[in-house]
Amino acid sequence: MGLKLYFLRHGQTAYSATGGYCGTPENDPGLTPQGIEMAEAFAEVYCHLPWQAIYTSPLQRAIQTAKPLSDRLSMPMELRHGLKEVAYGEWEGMHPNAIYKKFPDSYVRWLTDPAWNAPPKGERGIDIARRCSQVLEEIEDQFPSGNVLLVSHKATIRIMLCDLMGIDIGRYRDRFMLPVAALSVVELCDRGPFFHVIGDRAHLSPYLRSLPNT
Amino acid sequence: MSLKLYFLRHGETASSQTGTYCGRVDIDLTEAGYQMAEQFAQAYHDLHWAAIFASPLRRTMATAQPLSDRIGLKIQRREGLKEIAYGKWEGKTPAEVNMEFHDDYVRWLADPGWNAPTGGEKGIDIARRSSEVLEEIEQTFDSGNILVVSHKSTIRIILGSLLGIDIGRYRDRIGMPVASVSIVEMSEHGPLIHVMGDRAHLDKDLRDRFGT
Repeated sequence: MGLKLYFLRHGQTAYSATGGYCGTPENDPGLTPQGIEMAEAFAEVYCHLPWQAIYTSPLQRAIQTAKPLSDRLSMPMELRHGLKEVAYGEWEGMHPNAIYKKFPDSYVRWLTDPAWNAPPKGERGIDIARRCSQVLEEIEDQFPSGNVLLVSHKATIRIMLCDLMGIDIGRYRDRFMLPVAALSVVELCDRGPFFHVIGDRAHLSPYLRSLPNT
Repeated sequence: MSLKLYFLRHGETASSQTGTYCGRVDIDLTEAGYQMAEQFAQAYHDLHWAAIFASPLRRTMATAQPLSDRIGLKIQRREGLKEIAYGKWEGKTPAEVNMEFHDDYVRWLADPGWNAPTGGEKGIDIARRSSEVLEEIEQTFDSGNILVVSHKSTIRIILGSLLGIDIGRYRDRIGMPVASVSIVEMSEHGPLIHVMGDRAHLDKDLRDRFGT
């Protein structure tokens, strides 16, 4: 058996419920009560797997999402900056319509190719691909097999999935939906990354699945 | 609202249990395979369906039938959705193929995009014929939910094409267990994957059954 990576997006936040851009530590909301329920539902369903390690972005919403599993297993979280969300720079906390009004050209460029275009004073997709690939390399070096959980963010996970699948990084926003608390499982096999599932939310109750989830 | 494609792989067969190559061999579903088809219909009949397309083989028709019956929507058969033709490998196990057709087998494992099973079909041929079906669907429906019931190789090749992955990678990148659903929305900026390989509509005992 190869190394299996479980990419879990954090649970619901106030931003994910309304669609505002939310990236860096200066703009780090915690989970809503429903977001915490999502984290607990994940732990409930997945606590029986033999886990090797839990890696998480150091942002509050990711830590809160990893915590129920970490507590149940008494397994510490490994915090890695490489797993953080895209830094949205001057767009932090803004909604798409407001950004389009204030930054029309840079917004259109970014929507068209977010790999090589950054939000003003923010990060390009390609920068995110580089920093998170270092975390994946560290994990691969340390664990030849077993199950490893990575709790991260919407843009960051989609960029990792594109990179592993061989899709141009500039396509990450248009190819994968990835709602909150969605799980994607990738096994690193002899002939490369094998995707078992993308965007699985079977661990959530129908009520939690029905919530606004961007 | 845009066009949403629901790719459903057929339910369990004897071959999906044993791992023998089964392309054009027209086998039926197992008892568990029929249950999978029922449970798909149970979970998804409430959606507003615009059409049902299926490969004309028995296992895909049987998988589409419960939904078709419930909502009274006819199944449209399309040759382009058929499984890969395995040629001389049909009905054989991987170990047998490796013995009898060693070089063809090694080539095919390394790149099934441009290499065919002995006497069978290349991945690229499957990509071409299935893309004609997708084109027909896109031209006929500009929105709504469309069910496409097909096969393991064929669905993986379609997803690979939509995602922009080299066709030769389909066997190594994408898992596609029996009765799994992959949902792709044809949005303004191209195909958007909602979920890939989802089996939440199956009972746990069906999900946990061994097989490919």
